[in-house]
Amino acid sequence: MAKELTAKIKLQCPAGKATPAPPVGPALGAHGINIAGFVKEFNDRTRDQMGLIIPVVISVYKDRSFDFILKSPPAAVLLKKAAGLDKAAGFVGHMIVGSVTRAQVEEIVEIKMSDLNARDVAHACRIIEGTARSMGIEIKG
Amino acid sequence: MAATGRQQRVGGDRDWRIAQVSQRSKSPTRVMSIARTWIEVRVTVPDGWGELVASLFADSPFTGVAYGSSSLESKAASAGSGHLRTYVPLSHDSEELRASIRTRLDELSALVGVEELQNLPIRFQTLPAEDWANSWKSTWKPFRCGNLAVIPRHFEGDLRASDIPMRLDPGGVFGTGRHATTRTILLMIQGRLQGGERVLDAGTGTGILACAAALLGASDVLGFDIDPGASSHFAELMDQNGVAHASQFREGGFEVLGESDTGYDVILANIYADIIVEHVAGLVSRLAPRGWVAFSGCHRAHADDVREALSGAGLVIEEERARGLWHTFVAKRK
Repeated sequence: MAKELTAKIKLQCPAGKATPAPPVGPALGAHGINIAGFVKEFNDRTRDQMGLIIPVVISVYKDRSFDFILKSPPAAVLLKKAAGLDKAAGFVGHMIVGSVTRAQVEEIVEIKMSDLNARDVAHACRIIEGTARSMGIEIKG
Repeated sequence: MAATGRQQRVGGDRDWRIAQVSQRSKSPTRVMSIARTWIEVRVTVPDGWGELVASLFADSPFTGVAYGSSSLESKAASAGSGHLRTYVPLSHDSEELRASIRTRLDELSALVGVEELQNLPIRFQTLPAEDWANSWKSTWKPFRCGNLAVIPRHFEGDLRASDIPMRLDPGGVFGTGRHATTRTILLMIQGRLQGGERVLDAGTGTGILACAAALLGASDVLGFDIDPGASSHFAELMDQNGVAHASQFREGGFEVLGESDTGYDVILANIYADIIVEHVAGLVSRLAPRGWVAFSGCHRAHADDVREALSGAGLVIEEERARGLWHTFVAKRK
């Protein structure tokens, strides 16, 4: 018998380093979810991606059990990786700290397309390009 | 019960049917949490632009992002938009920070050139101080795991004659015994512990396995954990259960074990699979000739690695159980 779904919660947490602190605690606590259980399992499943922020969608069931699926890393993380940066500009648009090529943007769009909730590819491109600009990353080509 | 295949279902786990609320995890990587005040920053974002806005909150002092309605409110955003929430510790909150968030959002709108991103509504809310790691345990109820009855300190219900009570208040971040990994290993060590054993518990956390071993007759239990918060929980648990005299805690990782820490009859560990794989050989060297190990916390994705590591370290798997995604092993020296 299928379990009755009561909530879907989407979070972004650091791979291998989630803790019960916000955003996990407030998001899961009110649903009576075993926060420690989520933290342990999330960290276990994402340990090999340490250093990345991982979006996760948690399904909460009526019996307060849960499961979750991991999504592709946020565009900001992929852009930093593509640009070879440890850290992006601290303040929007004030400083150019790196660059990516148009081809790299398209690659990221491809990775992210199913998770972006974008209306179409053009919209997805604008999201990725906007993210890049907000981080001080130029798009070349 | 001897292992007859790759997996065996856990059976005989009598239980007071209660809420699924707690678990322990004895990962040396976890952090004890304390109540702390947080500022919730909620931005209402048009559909489809959530991730772009979230990118502004990717780094410190923001601690991550949650999408959708907060657990503290039932009102969803209006149609065509959604809430995005991030959090800042109160100690990092300032007028400058709040102003910079507004500036960032305005600049983002200008950079992307999207009109619907202009003047996004922002709400700052101070969350009441709450120990999120523990507050969810308020519905904690007693449960049985084999003959072990895990009960809150002030439990006044009836126990069966065969029950071995373990008094345990919700306390540490992890460690109330309900997680599959803990329950399974607790079941598997019952019947194997005969009394009088020397036991080592690697990554003991709040000390549930160590305490259970002592309650089941072990004469001497050593637990260690890198989490500095574990020490007080361990001591409290042992004290509550009258086994403090038989237990000892060391703060640190595997390096806390000295040359004289050998000859253990039983070694327990409920930690991540990769840590077991890395340290199993060293642990086996501390095992008495007829000693055995019980390892839990192995995600099924890593079960093959653990089997291989146990075999490579000179152990024979006597029993393996799977519960949910987690595998637990009991193994003896060849």
